[in-house]
Amino acid sequence: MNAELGLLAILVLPVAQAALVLACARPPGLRDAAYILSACAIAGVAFFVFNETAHGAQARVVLARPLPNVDLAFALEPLGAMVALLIGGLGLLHAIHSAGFVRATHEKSPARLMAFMALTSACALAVAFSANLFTMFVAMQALTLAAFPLVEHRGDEAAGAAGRLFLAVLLASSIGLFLPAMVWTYAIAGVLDFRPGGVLGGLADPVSANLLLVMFVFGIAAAAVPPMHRWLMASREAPSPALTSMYALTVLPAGCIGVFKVAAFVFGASGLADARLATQALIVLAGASMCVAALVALSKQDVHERLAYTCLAQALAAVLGALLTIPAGLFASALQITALMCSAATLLMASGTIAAVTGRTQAGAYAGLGRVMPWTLAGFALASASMVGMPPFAGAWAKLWLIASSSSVGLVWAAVLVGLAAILTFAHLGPMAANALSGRAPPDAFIRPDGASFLLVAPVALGAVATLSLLVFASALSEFLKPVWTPMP
Amino acid sequence: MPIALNPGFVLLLAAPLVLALPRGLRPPTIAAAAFAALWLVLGRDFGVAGFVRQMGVEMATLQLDALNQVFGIALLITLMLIGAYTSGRQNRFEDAAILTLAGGAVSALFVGDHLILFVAAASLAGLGATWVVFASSHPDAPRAGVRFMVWHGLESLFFLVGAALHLVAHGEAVEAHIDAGSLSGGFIFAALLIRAGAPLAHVWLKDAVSRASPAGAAALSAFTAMLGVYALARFFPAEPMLMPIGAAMIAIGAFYASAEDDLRASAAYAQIAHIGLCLALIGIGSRLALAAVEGHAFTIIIAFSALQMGLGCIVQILGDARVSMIGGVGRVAPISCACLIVAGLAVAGAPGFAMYPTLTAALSAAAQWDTRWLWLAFSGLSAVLFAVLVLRPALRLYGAGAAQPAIGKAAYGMVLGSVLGAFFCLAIGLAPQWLFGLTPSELTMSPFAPDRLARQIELMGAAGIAFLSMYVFGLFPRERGTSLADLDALYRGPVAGAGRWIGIVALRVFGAADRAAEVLSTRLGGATGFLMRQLDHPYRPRLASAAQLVALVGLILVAALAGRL
Amino acid sequence: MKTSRSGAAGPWFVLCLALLAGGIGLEFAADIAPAFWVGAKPGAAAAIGAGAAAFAVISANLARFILAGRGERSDDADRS
Repeated sequence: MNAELGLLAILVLPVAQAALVLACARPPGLRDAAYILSACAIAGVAFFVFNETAHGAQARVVLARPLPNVDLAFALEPLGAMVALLIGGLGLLHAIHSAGFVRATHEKSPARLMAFMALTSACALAVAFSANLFTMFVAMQALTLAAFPLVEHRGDEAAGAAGRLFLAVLLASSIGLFLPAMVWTYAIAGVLDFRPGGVLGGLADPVSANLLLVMFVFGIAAAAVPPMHRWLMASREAPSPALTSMYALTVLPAGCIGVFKVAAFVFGASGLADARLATQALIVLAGASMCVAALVALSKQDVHERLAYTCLAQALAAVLGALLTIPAGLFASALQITALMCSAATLLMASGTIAAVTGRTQAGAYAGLGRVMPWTLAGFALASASMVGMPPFAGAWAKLWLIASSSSVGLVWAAVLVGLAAILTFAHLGPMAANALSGRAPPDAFIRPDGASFLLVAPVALGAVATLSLLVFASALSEFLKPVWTPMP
Repeated sequence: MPIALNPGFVLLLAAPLVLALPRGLRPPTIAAAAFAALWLVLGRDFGVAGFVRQMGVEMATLQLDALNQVFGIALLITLMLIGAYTSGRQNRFEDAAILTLAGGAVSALFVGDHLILFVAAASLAGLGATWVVFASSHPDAPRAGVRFMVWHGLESLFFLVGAALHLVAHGEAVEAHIDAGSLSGGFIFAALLIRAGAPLAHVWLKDAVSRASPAGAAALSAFTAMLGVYALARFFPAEPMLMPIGAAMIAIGAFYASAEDDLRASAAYAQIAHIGLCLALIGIGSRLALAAVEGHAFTIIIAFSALQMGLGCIVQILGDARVSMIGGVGRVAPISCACLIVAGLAVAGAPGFAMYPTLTAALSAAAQWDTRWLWLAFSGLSAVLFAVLVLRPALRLYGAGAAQPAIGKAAYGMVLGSVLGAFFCLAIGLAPQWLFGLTPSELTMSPFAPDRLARQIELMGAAGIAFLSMYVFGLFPRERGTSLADLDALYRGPVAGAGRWIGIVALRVFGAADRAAEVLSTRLGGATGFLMRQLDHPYRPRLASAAQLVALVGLILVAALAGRL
Repeated sequence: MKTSRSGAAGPWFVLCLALLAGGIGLEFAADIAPAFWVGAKPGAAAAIGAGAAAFAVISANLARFILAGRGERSDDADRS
């Protein structure tokens, strides 16, 4: 297999996974085996692609050419390879966990649920590997349409209303803002390709640059920059595996990657210098919203609601890093995306396990569960520590570089906001994890006689291990991602 | 060939291992890990080794010098004692927590000047300490653990911000020392003051120690705050702010140690006072003062762990270690009580016991006109602790009257650990030259010189007579089972209430803004829908149709004009 | 249960008296270096010691009066 084939395979395999799961819907064992085995294959190909990129391989796959200089194309590059590895690796854990969850809760239409989760993975990978704005736009629409059935999965009235809001926000923003911004960029630069260092630098006047940046950032509503965050709150009606998929693996990370690519490959440092006013305003918005989201999370007793706001705060941190555009800021953003995916996946899988096995969905009801579910709650605690940004967990290094890069460009107040958001995140996750581990064991904790199965617990534990991985791999990641912020000659 | 491995890593590797071992193997594993780490420390020459490159920054995982060697030896000896002590009870989670705490602390010692690694290791130690508190079965341990976690979380975040800002301004390693007046230095200084138990943050140590298990209390007293002392000595030597801070800690510690009924809390306050002494010496900053800090920190680690171990034996016997409860226990548990008295004498700086030589070094360092008040505070502290941590408990332990009914017995391992602790308290006190030889600038003074010896025994004799007289004549309050409010009552009460109020107000504002946005978007959606429906009937003579026509004409005109231009 | 406060004080009193006497004697007998201030002069240590003891007693009284919590605590410490 060469790099080009690997790139095609990583995009096509999740679609094939979806088809396979639907075809093998019964018996349940066959369905779960098909889902998990194809997730293994995707993880393997993701690792291959990552390895090829690390060895300098390049590949570009063009599927269509609707306009001059505008391709529907996918390119192998370090950021996409990193995201593919995360989606593949964490996706495997998620696949195992989903299989366990649907069995434990007798979730309705599990094959359909798994199929659409696979499709959202495919679309997220398409966003990650998109070679230009047009491809990213198409991939974002596909992602929205693939994720919408996940929100509406339960089929009741609340799910229906949530699904409509989800669709409205994401589609309206991308068609109303992202699409015109893309057209305007084409009019100014003549190309839509992603290039390290940006394509707009020096070409757009300050007014246009400012407007474009605002349209792009709000147009990529998947990044949940307020006021485009409402889809995140609406989507909590989805089943737990779908939430893990949307918040930790596909929709939210794809949004962060979208903003990253726009900042790094469309604007670049010089482009963002032209759009200074909008950049500063968006940094203020992201920083303040991070703190507000963490504060609101503190008031939420429903664990999924609380985690939704937590993920929102962390995603906004990644957006803030991307808008700094200096290499340290982009590195911080990449680290933050990695930390967000690892820790959000672990937290959501853990809360899903707890809900499936004990029926507990309120934060106060977690007290003492660590005595009867030690592995799950230990994973929850480690992932919480990473979300907060406590050393030596993954999130700490992302926060460190966010603070360092903010202060190096003179935005000390942004660094302070990052710190404040971390304190508020600690306030709403720390005591919950601590009480879970230290409280008295609740009598009759389990609603299932056989407790939590291996399928539900092992992915949580392995996900927690992943949150420690950045401590070891951060330097290698820094070298691997260097081409992302090195302008082309 | 010496192995370039940070000794703390050995302890961290042993922590998960201990979770899987049977009860009988856990104490030897703890002791063996400590021994292996000590061997690594003593088998290396001073220098830097174990380079790794992380996040574009080169760091050394092992930097051995005289400063961290002194602290490391003390911590590892203490860990061996705690290893023996833990054989008296069964709690695998606490054993793993103690190793994590010790591993993080020792790792932080030996990464030297490298801030990022120090922050990572110190934070790991903080997590381990939190786990130690949570692993206790005291009914209030979970809440105490959450409070401890808040302090540790705040400290970690200050560290993170400070390290990030330092990275930007100065790079990763600390060349000489950090300027506490700079932004990055200020954050790191604040974090270390929290770790060391400076005023306003001094409450966490007594809160954690008094709710921990006996072994946990000994571990917390050795491996938590003392890391802060080390880091302040390394990164902020001769920082003038430390002198008044240290003096305040001596005053607060002595005040509460005198009044506390719970001897474990009293011992924790006494430790705060001694840490204040160390901070004041760091602030003085002369060669003699810094050498005295290192020596004194060594003896604090040993003596206070021994004291907590002795108190832990009392807890095992009576269920608690309150002065109001320990009447007559000296007849029931003579060895444990004797170890307690020996540790108390060490903590008070009695001649022949551990802290006396280093206290005399501290007094020598402060013996100048400009620092005479510090000298007075150091002297006074010794006398106060002799009264409240030796005489006061001794009067109760060996007092007349029937002993409290014992509810348990101190296990052999606990008594062994206490005896070993007492042994070290005596050994260091009687032969301090080997300790003085470890300090970077060798302390050449003789602690047993007649003038120093005379002054100290005169001080303690007078303090004893005065205290005993006041005690016998009822001037000292009668021992009752009371608890004393400290600043944490303020934090838990008005400050927490203010925080909750601010949060509620902020949430209400957010909620109102959210509802307004929802109303606006609903109305906008409705208006858009209405307009769309109107535009769907273009041939009906309506105002919307006219408006549509005008807009179209206008667009054509604009396009035409733009084309002309 | 009210117990006598003077029971075990006797031996400790004798010990402290011996320490005080020994200390003062040694201080005046030995060749003492010049004191850097009045607090370091021979005999001053006794005053400091007595003052410290008074500090301890006053602190205990003040703390009990101002800072003592209501009621007695009944929770046991951890014995594990």
